[in-house]
Order: sequence, then structure tokens, then C-alpha cells
Amino acid sequence: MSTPASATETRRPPRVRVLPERWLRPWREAGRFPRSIVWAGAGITAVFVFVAIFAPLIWRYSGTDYQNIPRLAAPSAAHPFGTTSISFDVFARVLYGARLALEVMLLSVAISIAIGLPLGLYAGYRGGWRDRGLVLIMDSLYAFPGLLLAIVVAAFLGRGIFNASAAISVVYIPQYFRVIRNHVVSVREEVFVDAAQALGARPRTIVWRYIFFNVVQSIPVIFSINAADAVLTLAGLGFLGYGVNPPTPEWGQDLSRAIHDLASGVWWTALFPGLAIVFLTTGLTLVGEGLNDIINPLLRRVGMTGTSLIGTVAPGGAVAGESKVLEVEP
Amino acid sequence: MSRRSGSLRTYVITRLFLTIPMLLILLTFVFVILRVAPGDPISAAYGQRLPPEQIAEVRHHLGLDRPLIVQYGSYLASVAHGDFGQSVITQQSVGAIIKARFPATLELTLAAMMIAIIVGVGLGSVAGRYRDTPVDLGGRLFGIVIYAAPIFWLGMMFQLLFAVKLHIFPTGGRIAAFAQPRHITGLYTLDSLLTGNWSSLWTSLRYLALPAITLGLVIGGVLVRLVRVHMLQTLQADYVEAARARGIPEWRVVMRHAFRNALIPVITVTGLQFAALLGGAVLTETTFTWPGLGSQLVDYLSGRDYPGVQGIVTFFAFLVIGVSLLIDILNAYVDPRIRY
Amino acid sequence: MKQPRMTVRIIGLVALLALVGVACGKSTTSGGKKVADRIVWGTTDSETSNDPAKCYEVFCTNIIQMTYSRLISYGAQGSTLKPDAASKLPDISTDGLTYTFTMKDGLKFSDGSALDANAVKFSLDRVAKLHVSGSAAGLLTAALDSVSAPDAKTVIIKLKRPDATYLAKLSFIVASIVNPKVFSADAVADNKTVAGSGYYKMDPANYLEGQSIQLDANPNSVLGQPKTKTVLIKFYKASSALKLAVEQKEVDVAFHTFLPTETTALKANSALSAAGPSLFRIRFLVFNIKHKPFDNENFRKAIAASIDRNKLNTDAFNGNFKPLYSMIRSAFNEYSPVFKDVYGETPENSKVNSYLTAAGYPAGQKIKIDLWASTNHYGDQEQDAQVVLKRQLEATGRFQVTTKTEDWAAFRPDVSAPPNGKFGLQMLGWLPDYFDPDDYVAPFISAEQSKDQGSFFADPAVEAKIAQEQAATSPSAREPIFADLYKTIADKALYVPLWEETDYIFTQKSVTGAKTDVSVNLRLEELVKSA
Repeated sequence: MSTPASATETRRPPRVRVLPERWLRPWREAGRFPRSIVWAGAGITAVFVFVAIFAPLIWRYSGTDYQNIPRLAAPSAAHPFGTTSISFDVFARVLYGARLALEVMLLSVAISIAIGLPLGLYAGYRGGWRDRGLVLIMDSLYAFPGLLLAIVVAAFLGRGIFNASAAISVVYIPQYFRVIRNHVVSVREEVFVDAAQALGARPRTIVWRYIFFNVVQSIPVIFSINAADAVLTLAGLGFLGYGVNPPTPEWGQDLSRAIHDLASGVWWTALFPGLAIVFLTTGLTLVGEGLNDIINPLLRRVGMTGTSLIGTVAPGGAVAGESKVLEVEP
Repeated sequence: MSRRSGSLRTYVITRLFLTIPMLLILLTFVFVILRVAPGDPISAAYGQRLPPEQIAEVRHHLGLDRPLIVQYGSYLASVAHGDFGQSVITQQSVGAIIKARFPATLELTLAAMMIAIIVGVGLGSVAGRYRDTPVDLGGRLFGIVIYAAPIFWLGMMFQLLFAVKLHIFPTGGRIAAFAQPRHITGLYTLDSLLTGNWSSLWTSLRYLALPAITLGLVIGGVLVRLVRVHMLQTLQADYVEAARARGIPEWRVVMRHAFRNALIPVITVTGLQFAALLGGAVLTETTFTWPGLGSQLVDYLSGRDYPGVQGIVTFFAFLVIGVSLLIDILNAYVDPRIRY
Repeated sequence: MKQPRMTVRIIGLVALLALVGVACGKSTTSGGKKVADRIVWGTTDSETSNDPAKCYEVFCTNIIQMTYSRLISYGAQGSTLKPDAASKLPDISTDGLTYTFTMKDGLKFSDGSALDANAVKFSLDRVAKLHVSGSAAGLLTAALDSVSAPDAKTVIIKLKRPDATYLAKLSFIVASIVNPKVFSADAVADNKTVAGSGYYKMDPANYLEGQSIQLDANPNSVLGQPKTKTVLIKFYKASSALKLAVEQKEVDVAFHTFLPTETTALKANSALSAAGPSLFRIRFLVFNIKHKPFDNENFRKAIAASIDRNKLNTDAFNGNFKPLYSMIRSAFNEYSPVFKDVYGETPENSKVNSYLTAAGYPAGQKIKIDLWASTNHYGDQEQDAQVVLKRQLEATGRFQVTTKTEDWAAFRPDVSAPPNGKFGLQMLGWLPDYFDPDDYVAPFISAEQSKDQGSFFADPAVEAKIAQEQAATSPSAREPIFADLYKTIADKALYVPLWEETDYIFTQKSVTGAKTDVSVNLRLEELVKSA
């Protein structure tokens, strides 16, 4: 087989749907956000990371300080986001909640990758019934509503940072598995075909090189989407009462307490933690968009792309124009 | 023609075969999680004065002292018979609870889906049509931001604005007392329509509004981007170019040709979003105290009612896999390239 | 004493549904004044079982109270027992072992079948036979020997040992008279089945799981006719939703359970009437004396001396609850603020330090303890109370408190999980089954029942005194024993009483007659809404 005529033409992994290049162009371009927006997203994320790390230096109250703080005070100069019914400073709770959100997010993503990546490599490389079996298992988990899975697991593991992270990680293991495994399979088949005709090239080195670059290509994008979803899922768990032990500041938990304040017209305990979630999740999603835009053209230029990203998950968990189950190859 | 329907049949059969192991895997996962989790469901349910002999009795009665494999087998067998178990706390059949409360969840998800489609297709088409303009950017940003807003928070903000401050909508519940329509389907809006009970229709719509809008907006946000992508693809397709070449005005091109085809992936996307819809429904039902299966699941979880949780999760698994099967078959019918 | 699953209080409902578009505003004229036919009662409680042999929660108790009758009961007000199905209070044999009841004539169940001594025997035997775990059956069966109905009008109850509180126990809903034609002696009935003869009856079609229950007046009522024909009980999951509902006139009566901030707001609302406060649960800390360091009496006393109940009330409850200084409801005559006498009203660090030194902890040492509470049983202000308690303990400078929580479904069994419970220090509550101080003593410090609270206290001397007061028949003989026992609890710091919950009944101004009885049931039969 010959090498592709142009770097922009996709190779044809046997499994991914065939689409002419010009059909792809709008999709690729459609995904591109203006640079300014992406940088804004990165900026927002950076702000949260900064806040999470330096919270004690930024604000004089911690998330659990209560002495000399009035109860249910409206936002003022002393307490910019107001105070709660048990004398917590809401601004402090938001700052320290960022710390917890990032901790759980990193931990859950790490667990997801630590399990999903090796499994995907293994399945893709070995093939056969092991591959089919793992794909079936992962697809089944993938099909089920992620939030429900996380809730059920968290409810039975109990509260705590590690338990919450483990519950959230379960949802994204299939994602990493799928993408890695798909790439490995497609790259492996192509390269073997090519290598059969090349002289002296050791298939294994080429396979690993291509795998590596494909991994680099897709993991960061999934990572940022995963991170965004992890923040949302943690908030959901906290809202239902399955996050961490109170009084650790956690946005979702604070929101569930804030529901009661609403009927009395107290709005500040509900608005600010929610806004924090919105901003952090948006920032992470936009970063994911930006990564998608940057990495794709970069690798295309270098001639390293093996597969198109049609199977990639768009923010929101939907796969652009494809049914999840269709990816299962009999 | 016969060749095409032949391969469709093969496709359907193959997909059906795949469904069974997928279901099995999900059910096994549920079973394992519930059995290995810490905590004892019997003491949890009968926590009060219960001598150890009576605990053992109850445990034996519920079959929880048998080896795990046997329990697993009987779980699968009862599911195959449509028996979703018995709630430990209320001793009611979980199947009966599902039957009673599923219409509420169905009504909510259907209404939310309609709103999501209106929002998603509307905004997405406009964004795709006016590509790279502020409208486009606004639409896509809306899609991202609305998804980033936690459903329960969005619901709370709506409650604050529309229920507490403006008194237009109630804060929660499904219908006002004494106002239920006669039971036909269990969906109050539909039943009100079918029986011509206009006051009941009005009340049930009032209660349905906020939860459906909340869930619908969030799902709609995801749809915006997907519809937009497909809109762009369609606008560049051959037949659209041909229509333009024939001199048909652009707006007609968009409305007649591109728009109609942009709807095709909506079916697919609806199916894809169904899982997200179910998950979002749980949070929505909790926020608005909507008496559906989602809030029931949360109640069972906090009550450590293992059979109840197991029953509802099993039911959801059936739903999700059933819907995705349906979508795939629909897709395969429409698009022959998709088949194996 | 029953442990309520969620705070459940029922307050009378009265009022027509005033809904947009719902026309029917039926009413009747009563005594020259138009009264509404229907009243809506909103509550955040949830339904469990309506079978008297099973129900042991606050809400179902209220429902059963209104839909079934018993031989005797406390009636709508006061704390003296009155005959209901019985024609008069029973004859009690001199040895205190035999109670003979004579039934009234011509009593009927809601479906018209005869309510006689055989039905009573059936009901009591059924409770004993089913002995549903987690029910109040033990109240009846502990001292019960046999029940017989020699003829249709006579019921003879024989006890194994004399029990001064047995009449009070017979007034509890577990002794309700159920219809033998509907109930089976071998199985618990489902939630939809109500077959008794109280003020109201319930048609199974009107039972909407988790949403609403409709009660209709029972023409054959043993207890008399209610003032309002139909009561609709509507369930709200969130107290904020109920608050809005009563403010926007969606419900006529709102009872149970509001957060302190909501109670304050509703009390201040001039468009609503507030009846009460009625005293509800008592709340306290339990020490598990089998867990270190709580096995040391002086250590426990140090903790008891660190609590400022008034400040707890203000910080966590907006001042809406009542500080409690003894392990008994303040409405009883036997209540005396022993904990205030022994430990003072405001904590003094010097006292705390001296107790800790006596316990063997060197001055200045900070001791780590875990404080456990449940999340979803006592209302959402529980978390606040837990945090405030932690702060008070840490304010002494000698404790480092970690707050831990569990859902009630896991928390409750863990409290008394064998062999010695899971927690060392937990927050718990107690609600009376029957109106007698014994119900505030035996469950806490008798060897058999203290483990249900997670206390695991046992002392033969105390056992003897409990047996004494149970056997004694005259109040003047029992009072000093009770005083002695409550003082023992304070001196040994076996428990730390904290506060007493109060509940208000909030109604529209058009509703009158809202009251609770001595067992804090909402009396539906008294509610009237003027149309």
C-alpha cells in the first residue's frame, strides 16, 4: 500500500466510517473556536488552579472558620459572598471548594487513566476474544447513565475523598479504554499491512510509535472533557449527600443546604457555589476544545495522524454522529 | 430491494444478539456492587429491637444467606420473569413501584426531550446557517455553558426566580391535590388531553414546566453543537449545491433541503442522549420533588433498600439498552452504510 | 418508643383545595356557618405502613390514630385515659394481673361488620403472633400472658406480671382494633389497606404512594363524627416546598416539619395562624460506655459540662427549640432540670478541666473524639446542630472533635450493632409511645433496652428500681423513684439531654381547631375550615 497522497486525507481504518475529505472539512473547521475564547477558558481554569493552591493566602477565612462571623449575612465588604446559616463565609467555601474539586478531579482522572489505558492497550494489541469481551463489558458500562453509576457506587462506598473519586472514575474508564483500543487496533492493522511491504522495518517499533502519537493526540482532549464531567459529577454526588464528609467545603453539598435558604429569600448561598461550578466546568471544556484544535493540525502537519477523530466524544458525552453501540465489532 | 431488507434483517438479529450479553454485563455489575458494598441491608431495614435470631430469619426469608452464585442465578431468573424484587422496607413489589412511578419519569423525559430538540435544533440550525458570526459563536457558547451548569443548580435558580419571586410556577410536586385526571396512560398531560379535562391539563402543565425546561435546556445545549455540525455538513452537500445552482433562494435551500436532513441525526442523537436524560432526570426529580423513578432510586439508596435499588437500576439498564437498540435499527433502516 | 424514620408530625388538615381552575368548592352549613367539606393537610413526612401491627413511625401513628379505634385512649386532649370501644375503664384484679373490659353495644367497622370482643382478641393476638420486627409489638407482648373473649361483650387480658403502665400501652396504636374480615392473622397488610373504625376511613383507591392520601368520614365511627368530611393529606419532600404551599394557600394546614428559619418566617407571617408549640422529640447525646474513653465517668461529665444549651438553641435553631435539662419530656410533672443543677447552665472551663484531671488526663492535653449523627432523619438542621456541638466542645480547648455522619438507614442499626455498637458518642432522639415517665426511663437505662440507644449501660441496682416503679400503682409511690433515676443519669452522665423539639401547626386564617394530642398526633376530627 502506498503512503497517503496528502497529509490531510484520512487513512482508512477498517472500522471507522468512510467519509470523503470535504465532508470532514466542515467538521474539523466547525470544531474550531476562536482563539480568544479558548484562551479565556484556559485562563478561567488557571484562576481556579491558582485559587485552589493559594487559598489560605488569598482570603483570611478558611472554609470552616466560624468565629465572629454573623449568620446568614447578605454579601458585604467583609463577606463578599455572604455567610451561611452556621456562620461559614461563602467566599471561603467557594475558594476551598475549588481545592476539593480539583483534588477529586485529578484523582478520579488518574484512576480512570490508570485502569482504562492499560486495558485499552491490552485489548487492542491482543485482539481476539479477550478484546471482544473487554469491548463488550466497556460498552455496556458506557451505555449506562454515568451519573447513576457514580451515585450507586458512591452510595455504597460511603463518604470520603477517595470513595467519591473512585465512584466518578468508574464512569470514564470505558471512555479511555475505547479510544485507546480503537487507535491501537487501527494502527496495528495498517502498519502491519505496510510493514509487510517495507523492508527491514520492525512492525513492533512502528506500532508503538504510532500508538504513542495517537495516544498523545486523543488523551488530552478526553482528559479535559473527563475533568469537566468529574467536577459536575462530584457536585451531583455532593448534592445528593454522597460526596465528602461535612463540614469539608464542597460546592454540591453547599448547594443542597442552600435549597432551604431560597424559600426565605436568601440567594447568596445558592448562587455563588453554582457559578463556581459553571465557570470551572466551562473553562475545562473550552480547554478541551482548544486542545482538540491545536493537537490535530499539529500532528497532521507532522504526518502522524493515523485515524480521524470521528469516534471522539464531544463535550456532553455525545459522540458526533455515531451510536455508541455501533463501535462494537462482531 | 430484497437484498437490502435481507441485510437489514441480519443486522437486526446481530444487534439483538449483542444486546443480551450487554444486559447481562450490566446486571452483573449491579449485582456485584450491591453485594460487595459495605453495610448490611437487613439491619439497615429492621434497625430497631431485633434479636439476632430474627435477623437470621429475615435474612433467610429473603434468601440472603445463600451462596452468592445461587443468589446471582435467582436474581437473573427473576429478572427474566419480570420480577424486580421486593422492597426490603415496604415489602412492596418493586415492579409495582416501577409501574406506578415510571409514567412520571416518562412524562418528564419526553417533555424535556421535546424542549431539548426545539432548543437544540433551533439554535443549532441557526448557528450552522450563520456560521462564524456572533450568532454562531453565541449558540455554541450557550451550548457549552448550559451544559456546565449543574441541573440541580439551574433548577434552584429557576425555582428562586419563577416560583419564589414571581409566583408563576410551583416549586415542586407533580400536580395539585384533587386535580388528577382520570388514569389512562399515567401521563397527566396526556390523560388530561384524552379526557378533555382542561383544568387538569392546565395544572399539570404548570407543574411540569420548570422541571422539563431545566432538564430540556441542559440536554438541548448538547444538541446545539451536534445539530450545528450536521447542518454545516449538509449545507455543503452535493444536492444542496445543486439546489443552489438551480437558482433556488438560499432561505429555501436551508429550510427545505438542509433543515430536513439536519433532522435525521436528531434521532440518533436523541438515542445517544437518552442515557444522559435518565441521569439528568434523577437530579431534576430530586430538585423538584417530582415523584418519578429517579427520586425513588435516591430514596431507596438513602434507605439502603438494596432490592429496591437493584430493581430500579435493572429497569434502567433495560431501558437504556432497549432505546439504543431501537435507535440503531432505525439508523440502519435509514442508512444502509451502517450495517455490518 | 418508636424511632421515627423521618420527622413526621401530623397536624390537622383542614381547608379546601384552593386551586387555580379547580372549581369545586363544596361546603355544608353547620350551626349556621358555612364550613368546607374538604381540607388539605401538607406534610413533609412520608407514609410507611398503615398496619397497626407494623407501624412504629410518627406519621403512620397519626393516620392509624384517626382511622382505627382502641379499647381506651387519651382522646383529643388531656392526659387521662378514656374508654373508646370499651364502655368504661376496665376492672383490674387486686393482683394487677387481670384486666376485664366491657365493650360498648352495636359497634361497627367502617364496612359495617360488627366490632366486638372477638375482633379485639383477634387484633391483639395478631400483633403478638406476627411480632413484626421493628414494630411496637414488644410494648404489648412483654407483659402479656393471654387475651380471651368469653362473650361478644367482654375482653379479658391476663398479664404475666403486674405493670402499672399497661393501660397506657393499650392506648397506643399497636392495640388498635382491626377488622378480622379484612386483615389476615398471618400477614402484614399492605399500605393501602385500612380497616378499622376511627373518625375516618380510607378507600384504597385514594392512596397515592408518595403523593397523597384521602380520608373520608367514617359513618360507623366508634369515636364520633369528625367536623370535616374529607381530609386530603399531601406529601412534600422539601420543607421549603411546603412553606411555599401554605403561603400560597395550596394547603390549609401545614404540620411537620420545618427548619428553624422557616418556622420563624411562618410565625411572622400575618396571613397564617400558628397553633402551638407542641413539644415533640427529646434530643440527646448518648455515651457508649463500652467504648473508650467514654467508659470513664469523669470524662463523660467533662463533656456534659461543656454544653451550652441556650447557645445551641440560638445558633442552630434560631431559638425555636427548648433547652432540655433532664432525660424526660418537660411536660411531665416528673421533669426537673437535674443537669442544670449538676453542671450549670453555661459551661465553665475550670469545671471541665477538673473533671478531665479526675479522669486522668493531664492538664492541657487535647483529647480526640468522634461525634456521630445521622443525616436525613431528624431534619436538615441536624447537621447544623452537630457542627455547633463540635464548636462548643472545642471551645473548651480540651477536645478535638471529628464530625461523622451516616444515613439513617445505616446509622440506626450501627448504633446498636453487636457486640458493642459502632459509635462512642452519637446524637439520638426519643419520642413517647405512651404517656408515662417509665417510657423515658426503661428505654434508656434498663439493661435490656439501653443497647438500643447504643448506651450498653447495665446496673442491677437500677434494674431493681425500674422494676419497682413499674410494679407500683400510685403516682406518689412512683415519683420519688423516677426522681432518683433521673438524678442517677445526671450524676453518672450516662446521657446528655440537649433540647426538646417544638412543632407548630400553621394554618390559613379560615381554619380552626388545629391541635395535637398528648402523643403529638394531629387531631383531624377537630379541624374546621370556614368556607
